[in-house]
Amino acid sequence: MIQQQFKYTLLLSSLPVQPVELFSTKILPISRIQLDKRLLLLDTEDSADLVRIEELLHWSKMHEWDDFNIISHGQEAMALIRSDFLRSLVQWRLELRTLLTVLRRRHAGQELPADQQFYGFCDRLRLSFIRRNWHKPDFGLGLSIPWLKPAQQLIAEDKTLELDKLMLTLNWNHYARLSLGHTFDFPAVVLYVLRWYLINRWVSYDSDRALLRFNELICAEMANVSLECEGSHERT
Amino acid sequence: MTEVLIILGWIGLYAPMAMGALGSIMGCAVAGQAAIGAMLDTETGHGRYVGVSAMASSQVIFGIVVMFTLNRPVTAENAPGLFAVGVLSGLALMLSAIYQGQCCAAAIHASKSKPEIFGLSIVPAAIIEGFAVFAFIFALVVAGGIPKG
Repeated sequence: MIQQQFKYTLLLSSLPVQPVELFSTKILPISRIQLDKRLLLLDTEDSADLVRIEELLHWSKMHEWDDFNIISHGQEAMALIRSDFLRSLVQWRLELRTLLTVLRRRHAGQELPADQQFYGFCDRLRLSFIRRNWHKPDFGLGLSIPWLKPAQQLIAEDKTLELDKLMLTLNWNHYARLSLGHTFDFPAVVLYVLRWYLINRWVSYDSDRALLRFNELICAEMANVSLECEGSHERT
Repeated sequence: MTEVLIILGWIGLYAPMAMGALGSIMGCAVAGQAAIGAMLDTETGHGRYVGVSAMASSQVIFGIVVMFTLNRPVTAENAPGLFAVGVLSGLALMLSAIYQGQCCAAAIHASKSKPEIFGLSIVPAAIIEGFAVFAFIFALVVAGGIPKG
């Protein structure tokens, strides 16, 4: 028991303390290269679990499959995670993404016909509840999931940055709550890594770079359009 | 029955030393790992981290003193007293060392990023040390009442 609770004392003490407030952070407390070096202290099984969790949660490590494959592979990978605590942590985050996807799909004007399969990481009961309450702003889940209403409002008003901040806050607070009682054990390592991803995402937001990238994309697309136009003129 | 009592008496005689050592091993190991980890993340203050990580070593010294105080020819008359005082004081010393080590690890971890709280952060570990001293002192007092054999 004591062994498990203090299994990663050396590893976690060697990591810089993460900030209490996410949005006040300007730089990453530790680079990914340094973090990976420290994570070498994990034993084989814990390391495999962490890789599974990162593959399930982090976009850059996901495969471009269809919904069915993502859900089935995700559930298989989740079943391999040994700790109930970590499994519920991953399940919570994936559920959040499912609900956000549902909100976006509805905002895009998509319907959910009764004969169309609907995949998600929520349990079947909740999925069928969403299907039944498709036209309610919060799918009738507002009481049990209070963030649905503000998220729906932000999507309706096209406030993407505010929506992203809401999601980051939800995740940050959830991880902070879960980290109570986990100081030097494996869940503490996982929570540290997941919070590192949130910090990384927040500090990488750069409006100037985003504008530059947007202009590049526009220029590239416009070049394609003009080439196509020239091609059609030549043919005529 | 006498043989069993004699065995229990010998267990009680060595228990404070053995259990104190076990506690110190576990406590110092946890705090020591925290100290080494903190050294990887900081540029200064390494000496005090190592100093704090050794706090849990006092219990083994208390255990040795209690063992020497209890040390006498073991007989059927004094064996129950030796067993009770030895095992219970050993248990108290062992648990105090383990938890003190955990407090020291937490203190090192906290003061690493906020050096100004270093003094306050070791107060919980010092309080635990106080409880270990109680167990040690009163084991010596009670040991005085056990027949010399």
